[in-house]
Amino acid sequence: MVLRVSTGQMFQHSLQQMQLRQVEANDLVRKISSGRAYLRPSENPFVAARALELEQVVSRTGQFQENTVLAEARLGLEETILTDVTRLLQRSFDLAVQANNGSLGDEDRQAIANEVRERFTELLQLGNTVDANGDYLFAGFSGDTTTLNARRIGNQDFVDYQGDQGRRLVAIGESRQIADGDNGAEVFFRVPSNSALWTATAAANTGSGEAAPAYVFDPTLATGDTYRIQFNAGGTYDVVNETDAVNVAVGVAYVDGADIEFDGLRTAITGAPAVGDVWRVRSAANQDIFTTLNKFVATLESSGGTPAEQARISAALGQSIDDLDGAIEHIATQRTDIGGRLNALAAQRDENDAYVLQTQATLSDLRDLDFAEAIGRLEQTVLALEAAQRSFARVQNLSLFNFLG
Amino acid sequence: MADISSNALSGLLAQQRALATVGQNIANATTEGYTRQRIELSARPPVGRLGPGNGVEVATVRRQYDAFLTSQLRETRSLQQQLETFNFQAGLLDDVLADPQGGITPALQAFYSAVQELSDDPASGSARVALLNEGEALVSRFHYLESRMRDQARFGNQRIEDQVNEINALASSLVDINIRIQGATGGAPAELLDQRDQALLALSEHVAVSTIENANGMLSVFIGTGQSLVDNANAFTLGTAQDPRDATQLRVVYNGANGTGDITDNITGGELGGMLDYQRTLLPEARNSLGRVALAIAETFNDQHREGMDLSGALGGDFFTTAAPQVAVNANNTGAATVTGLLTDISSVTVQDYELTFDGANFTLAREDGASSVTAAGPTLTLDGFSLTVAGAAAAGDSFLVRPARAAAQAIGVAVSDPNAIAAAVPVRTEAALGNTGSGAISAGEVLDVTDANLLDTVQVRFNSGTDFDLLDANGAVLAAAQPYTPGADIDFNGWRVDIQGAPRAGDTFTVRSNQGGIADNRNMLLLGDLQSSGILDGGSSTYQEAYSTMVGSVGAQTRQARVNADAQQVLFDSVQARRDSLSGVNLDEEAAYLIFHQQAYQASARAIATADTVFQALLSAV
Repeated sequence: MVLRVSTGQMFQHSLQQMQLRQVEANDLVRKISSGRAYLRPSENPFVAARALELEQVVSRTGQFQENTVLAEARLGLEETILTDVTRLLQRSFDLAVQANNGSLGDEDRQAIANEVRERFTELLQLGNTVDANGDYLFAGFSGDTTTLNARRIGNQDFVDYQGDQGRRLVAIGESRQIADGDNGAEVFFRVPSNSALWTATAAANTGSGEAAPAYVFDPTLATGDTYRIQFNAGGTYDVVNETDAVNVAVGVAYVDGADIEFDGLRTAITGAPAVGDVWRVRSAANQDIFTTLNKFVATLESSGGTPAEQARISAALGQSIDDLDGAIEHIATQRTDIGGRLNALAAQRDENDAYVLQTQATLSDLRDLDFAEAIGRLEQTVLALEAAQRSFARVQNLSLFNFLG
Repeated sequence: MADISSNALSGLLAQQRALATVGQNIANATTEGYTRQRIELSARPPVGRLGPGNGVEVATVRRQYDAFLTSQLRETRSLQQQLETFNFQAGLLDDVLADPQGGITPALQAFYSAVQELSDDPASGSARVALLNEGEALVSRFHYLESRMRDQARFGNQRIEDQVNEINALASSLVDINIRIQGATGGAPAELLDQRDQALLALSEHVAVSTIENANGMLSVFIGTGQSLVDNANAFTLGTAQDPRDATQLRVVYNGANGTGDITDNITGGELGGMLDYQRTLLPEARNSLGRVALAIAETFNDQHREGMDLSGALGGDFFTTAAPQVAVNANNTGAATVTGLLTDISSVTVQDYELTFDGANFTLAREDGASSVTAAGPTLTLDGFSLTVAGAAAAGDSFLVRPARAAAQAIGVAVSDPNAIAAAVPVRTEAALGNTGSGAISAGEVLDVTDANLLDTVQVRFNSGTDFDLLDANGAVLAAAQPYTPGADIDFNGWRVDIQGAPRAGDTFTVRSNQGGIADNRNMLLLGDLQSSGILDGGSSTYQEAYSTMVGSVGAQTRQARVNADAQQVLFDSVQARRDSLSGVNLDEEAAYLIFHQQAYQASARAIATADTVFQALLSAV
């Protein structure tokens, strides 16, 4: 223990004490006014570093929330469109059932055909829907490409899919992505059908010829075999059954856009096929909804004067009923899938909300000031400052010189 | 009779001296470094064996002084100043990083939110412009922080020069005091010794010193590892010189009797020690750390961006500008070699500095902490995620200072100016032919090598049977025949990769083609967005944010450490100061008491003379 103290020391010590308390009080006032438990990273480096990381979690998860909202909007739009598609297909199905009644005449069927044509146009419009951002909803990645293009070769209507098969995913959680839509190929074209045909243009064709997609117009004659349409010199073509290696028709004169019919199948070719150009028609797994409707219309519009014709119409309508039923089923599956995704989105959003809440709670525990405690400490500090000031004044008044003289 | 009056007279004189000393103490009660003085009296012995003695004399005026305490005061002061200086500097850096809105974090988050928003709507012009703007905001945060640290380095150099000048001034004033002390007759005056102690204490605030008092009363002062700063009546000076390794740093040189030498590494203590310490530890580490975060963001974002396709169908370019590893040529190099750095693997890049040296036969590239090094004859050396290529002839002893990430915080910029040039899409897309009869499904496709010249060519995968396929070009020519089919196996061709699942049948075809027109494709944006939460640095264990947080945490921790050390040293200094003051400082009450004490003794002596006079008068009247 020191036995004496110098006057300067006493002065310095009191001064230091007061300054120290003032710095403490000032820090506390700054903390209380900002609500932050630490003013500088050095006060708690761990918290400083951790808080920055948690902030990123909050910000990133918040962004995922925004993504889910946008994905929900897009899926909601698709769901609405597909509801319309279902309604439209259901109506067509009802019409097909209604048409498949022996008592209907050609004119009655024509009236039905007219309505189906309208449904066809409507479906085309639905397929070309544009989303809130101005992108085609069903075009895959090719957002500014008109999804569907209706064309006609001769008497044959058909629709080209001009989009691509891309499927966009959005991030809705850390390493969690969900498709915010479906492409038109999936929705409108890959519809399973028992009577589907596929018309393939040979890669080696050199002419400008183009074929309409073939369909079964007379199920009573259809074989399910693969056929080849092959162009000869002199503007004629042969039709060969490749499955049985039999010539079905030889040396038929080519007429631009005219229907080409063989073994209950119908197609049409336009343009100028070159000698040696080949098209193949074979049975396929899927038939697009537009072909289904076109085939239905073609059946309705063909005359049913003879019993044989009536039998053909009846069989063809049977196929249309099956196809439409399959199409309704297919769209229903798509809608179920969208519903599942919407549920997943809602679940993910709740999860994200909970995560943000929890992270913010942690962040607040780490970083935010405990006001009660801070104010208590401020009181203490102010008390200590006052005590230091009082004792300074008291001690500085004490001097032996006061008693001299 | 003469005895009593002469004794009383000696008492009068002695008490006068004592009162004068008390007066001197009172006068200097607030003088910094003043050592209180106390008069010591001794009784004069009688001339013969018997008798009352010959009064009193002033034996000495004693300085209440302890040499050990004074040197301890200097030592603790020196260390305290060093730590305080470091603490002060680190605190400045800490303050720069303290503002939660001012750091990299909010800008990084805003940038990645813009990435996500663009991935929600890749064709949107406004989302594209927003991403470019957020990119600019992000790089400007890097520029701001880097410029603050660069300023600190520059001001630090200025302070080092100031310190050196002050040390030189103090050394020359110590020489003056030395000369005056030697010239004083009858021992050094107490006030000169106090002045010398004060000058030494002031010197210790700038740099740690050691002293030896010579037989002639002069003092020798040494710094560093025994370099003489003051030698009797001579002072030697310190100076500064540009660091040959790094022109932005200052070295401290000593101009001694035997020439000039670099003593930077030997200097400890004081503000100079603290500044040097800060300038070569925390500050460069923080700058390298910041640069590394910038480099990581720029490199990884660029790599992914180049693998994308922009709105016009062109392949993506660099999104950010960045900088190659910084190589500084040592000013003392005699060879003509130049060195260029190249980043090879961002995940291995550290925040350390490196030195490339040439011994005449081999180059050695070593990390400053000694934890890794590589030696080779050249011309290319690779270490810790970067490579150096030497061109030209190096001379033995040549060296180069290498900082792999330092330049990036300043160099980072947004390279893209056209919003449509943001590569949000993947360059290829895939499709299954609508007429396929099997259940095969093709993946969306990814890019393995964006530099492949045929990447964007249309390629058809045509199944010959359920078990093998051909790859055909757009014209039907076979590119690769009869490839065996394994469901889900990678098919790598022309720089892309796809896989096919399910059971395709003979005749089924799948196409991989350029994604031109794929304006709604966000796949590359998703991949870019994933970078934010991907482990990239430190061998793939740290995200950008984590690396930045680590930097903030590290600066915080070192600042805290410096503060704790400085506070502890302050306590130590205070306690030494208290001991010194309690011994040497003036207490006014004490002086007041002595004042009364000596005054009374003076009055008593006066009374004794009066008594002698009375006795003498009595004798006279008796005669």
